[in-house]
Order: sequence, then C-alpha cells, then structure tokens
Amino acid sequence: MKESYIDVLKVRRMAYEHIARIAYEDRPIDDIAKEVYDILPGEQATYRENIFRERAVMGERLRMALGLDARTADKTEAITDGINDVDVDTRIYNPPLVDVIKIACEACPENRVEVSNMCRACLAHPCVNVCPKNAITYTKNGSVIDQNKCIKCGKCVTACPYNAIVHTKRPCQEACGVKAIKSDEMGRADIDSDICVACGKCITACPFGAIADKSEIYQLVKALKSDRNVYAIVAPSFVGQFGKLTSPEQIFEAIRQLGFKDVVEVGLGADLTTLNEAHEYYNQVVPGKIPFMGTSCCYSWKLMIRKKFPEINDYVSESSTPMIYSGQTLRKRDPEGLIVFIGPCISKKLEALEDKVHSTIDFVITFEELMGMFLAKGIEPSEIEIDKEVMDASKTGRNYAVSGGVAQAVVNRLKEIDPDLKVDVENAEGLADCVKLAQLAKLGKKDGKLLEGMACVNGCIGGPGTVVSEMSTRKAVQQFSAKSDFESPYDNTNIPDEDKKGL
Amino acid sequence: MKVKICAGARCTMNSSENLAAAVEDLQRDLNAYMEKHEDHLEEFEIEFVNCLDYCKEDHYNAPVVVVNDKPILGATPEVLMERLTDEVFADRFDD
Repeated sequence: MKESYIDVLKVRRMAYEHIARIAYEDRPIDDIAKEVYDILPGEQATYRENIFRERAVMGERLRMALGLDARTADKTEAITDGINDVDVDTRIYNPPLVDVIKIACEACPENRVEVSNMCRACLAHPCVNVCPKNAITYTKNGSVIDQNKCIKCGKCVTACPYNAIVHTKRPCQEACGVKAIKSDEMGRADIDSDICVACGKCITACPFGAIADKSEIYQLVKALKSDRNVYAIVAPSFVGQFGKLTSPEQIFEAIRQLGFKDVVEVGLGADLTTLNEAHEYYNQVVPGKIPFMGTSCCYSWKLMIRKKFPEINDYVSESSTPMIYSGQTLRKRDPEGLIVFIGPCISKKLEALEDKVHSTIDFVITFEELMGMFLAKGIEPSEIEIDKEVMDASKTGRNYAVSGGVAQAVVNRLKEIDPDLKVDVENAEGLADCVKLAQLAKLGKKDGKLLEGMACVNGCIGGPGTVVSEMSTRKAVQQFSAKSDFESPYDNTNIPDEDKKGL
Repeated sequence: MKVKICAGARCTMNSSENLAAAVEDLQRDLNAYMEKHEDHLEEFEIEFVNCLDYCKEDHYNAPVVVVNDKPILGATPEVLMERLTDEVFADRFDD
C-alpha cells in the first residue's frame, strides 16, 4: 500500500531533502519560508485543492522536519515562528513524536455504513430485510441507515444487488494496532499519545499525508559540519533501500561522504542481542524462572506491552536492543563521538529519548531522511567506486530485518548451547497481532515459548521509514546475509571477547 | 520489449521501483489474458539503469523510464502501463 501512495511519499521526502539542503548549504534557517515556494512553485495547486493550503501544510511539514510541533489553524504565526530555538547541532525534539498535521486532515468519517446515490430504492430492498438491528428505513428516495442503530455488520453491503451501500473506515484508525486514534471536536484525527507506541503505521496509511513524525536531520547535518566525530550505525534492512543497483558497500561509502567518520552495521549489535537473549532464555525460561520470554528488539512491541500489559512486562527480554549494543560498542571505540542510528523505524526516535539510551544514541533518522540527505548533497550512491568490504555482522544478525529473523537467530544460538533443546517459537507481525499475542501470553497460553513481536508486518523491512517495498528488500537482505563470513554471532570477531564472556 | 527503469537516487526516492512492480503486474494480467485467448505477446524485459541525468535538468523529471528508446519523464504507473499496452499491441493495428 505504502508504495502506491506516490504523491504522499513524494511530498514527505521532498521536505526532508529541502531541510537537509538548507543545513548543508549553511543558509539561514529562516529560509524555510522561501523553500515552501521552491517546493511548491506557481499559482496552481498540485497536491491539494488550492495552493495556499498546500503551502501551509508544507510549512508545517517542514517545521516538523525541524523537530517542532505541527500547529493548528488558530495559531498560524509566521512559518519561521520559534524556529531559532531549533537552530542547534544537538537533539531537540520532544514527544509527541507522531502527530496529526491538523490543517491537512480531512476528518474522514469513522467506521460508517452509508447508502450511496447508486441506491435505486428497489422493490425488494434486501438491505432493510437483512439488517439484524432494524436500522434501515426504506423510502421512495432510497434506503436510509439510522447511524445510531447501525452496528456496522455489513450485511446490507453484501445484500444490495447494486453495490450501493458502502462501508467506509478511517484509514489511520484502521492502521492503528493499539487504537490510539480518536477524533477531536472538529472530527479530525487525534492521536492519544498515552496509548500510541509510535509504530508509524498511521503515517503511511493516511491518503492525505496528514500525519507525520518529527525529524532531526537539520540538527544532524549541523553536527556533521561541526568538528566532532559522527558515526552512523545502520539497521539491517538498509540493503536495497537506495536503488536496485547500489551495493551495501556503496551505501556505506555514500554515508561517509555525507560527513560521517565511519559506518557500522547494527547487525553487530543484533549479534550481541542474540547472544544475550539466548543466554537469558536458557537461564530464565528453561529452568522455569519466568513463564515465557518476549524478544526485545522492536521498541513499539516493547512499549505496547509496557503500556497495555504491564503484568507481563518483566517477561520481555532484558537484553538491550541492537541499536543500543551497536551504540555501546562504538562508544567504547570513541567515547567523544556522536552516534547516529539510521533505520526503517520511527519508534527508535522515541527509544533514543529514554534515560538509559539518551547518552548512547545521539540522533535517530530513517532511510527516507537519509535519502533526502544524499540528494541534498548531490551524492549518487550507485556510482561510487569502492572496494572496501562491509563485514560487521553474522548471518543471523543480518536477518534481524525480516520477521522471524530475530527468533531464528536466538534459536540457532540456543542450539549451539544445547543441541537437544527444543525451543517453541511464536511470531507476531503487525501491531494488532502483537496485541493478540501479548493478550494470550498474559492469560498463560504461551508458557515456555519464545515470543517474537514485530510492530511492522514483514518485520523491519516493512517499516514506515523505508524507501522501497519489503518485497525487494527481503531478497536483498537474504543475499547480504548469505555473504557474511560469520555463521554464528559467537564467531563475530568484531565483538570484543570481554563482551562475549559468560554468554 | 525493453523497459529501462532508472535506479538513481532521485528516481528511487520518487518510487521508481514501484514502476517495476506496475510493469510486473501488467505482465501478469496480459499473460492471463493471452492464455485465455491462446495468443502470445512480446514480453517486457525490465532493466534497472544508473542515473540518466534527466533529473539534473529538472527535479520533476524523476522518475524516468525508457521504453523502446523513448524516455517517459516524471513517469507514473498509469502513464507507463498505458504506454506499454499501446506499444505491445501496436503492430496489431498497423493497418
């Protein structure tokens, strides 16, 4: 679905590119006022009903890309209002991370069954007769549904011989696995940040591009231009994201050309997560100290359990996420350096704000944002010549990107520890499925199991910050995984022996 | 029939890979149609190519697809599929 929303993607990605360009060219941050006209030139609208609204929405989008909150129509100060506060080279955004750009929201009707003008007011009127709530009245102008009585069962929709009755749903609400989206007083989408786990699904589901997350590319570029050493750690789903002909090695070199001192695969941290989780499972679940264990790497899954099922929060692995382990490994190499996580994931931006993570990860951006930076700096990754090999992670670490890959890595490691051990695994992909799995686990129906939760369908390759479809990334990830020299995470020579001790 | 799809940075950002998916979809539909009518058509041959530099002239030229050596600038799936169906059936309506 995401890939076919071409114009929505284009609008969002243009914003990143233009913000990065202002930062790289050292232009005053106030230039976003002019940039809106550069992005949307002319007197006629391309994407919305009129050019004024189109530019106003783009203005708010650019502000969010600078890390600011989106404003409502009653607070439209100048687009540059308060902007100097974010003209820095450190992380500045605060929650809420994901928010509705209210002036772009079309207030789509929530879950409704409606009779369209295709209704012929037929003699048979089966819609009336099949309604289990007697909610439909037949009139000479057509059937009328009493919205107060309707339970949205859809029986009338199937019964109508003219396809005249439609069941419409609000796309953002449908996409939300934790039901965090309500309506405000004007009927527009409203995200309850107490419930939201920042998976980002609503961002990609909205056909009007009215939901966005905050970015910190501006501040990152400023940091890259400072005299500090900035390192990139890149999530396993990076392969294949930047063009069909671009190799992982070219992507790494392109990142270096942006001003990064060095680049490391997050697969390295994934290897440490595997070693730790396997160790934990063997010492906690096998002897029965805890009933089951949930994987730790997907932050939205972890956050969902913390918010919705606190009773089982202790049974989620205590091991750190691949992002954190990778960050810690780099931090040891250069304690003064800045560390940037680049991934397909939006919730990592929230994870990085946690007290324990704050000092390890300095910035988080997505692949989309990185692509914007390449374009802003005129880098063409597919044409870079490089013979430096990328070899930071094991085969199973590289497979973390695909759903099932995390649990598989842990199972493989457990087999190395105890070849006779039988590990029962269950996966959930998509936040709604994760909720179901957690619910059953809470009821004691998943005891003894290793539960892998992934808030995105297909795993990280289906993340909201990806550039290309999961189908094409899946293949690229598999090929890259097969190329690793390290069968097992334990063989990974990039991990210092002291970190493997006891695992 | 050769369908060259640009895999450069700007074209990739503007969903050029989605165009390949559209061509594959169209191929499946045409194959099903042809099988039903016991007929055969020339197949599409997708080739990803490096940046063709059209986007350097104007950003709005991305994504670029080249069909039978003729470029489609600012390509969308619907324009591309229309063009491909026109081309692939062209010789049938010559006279």
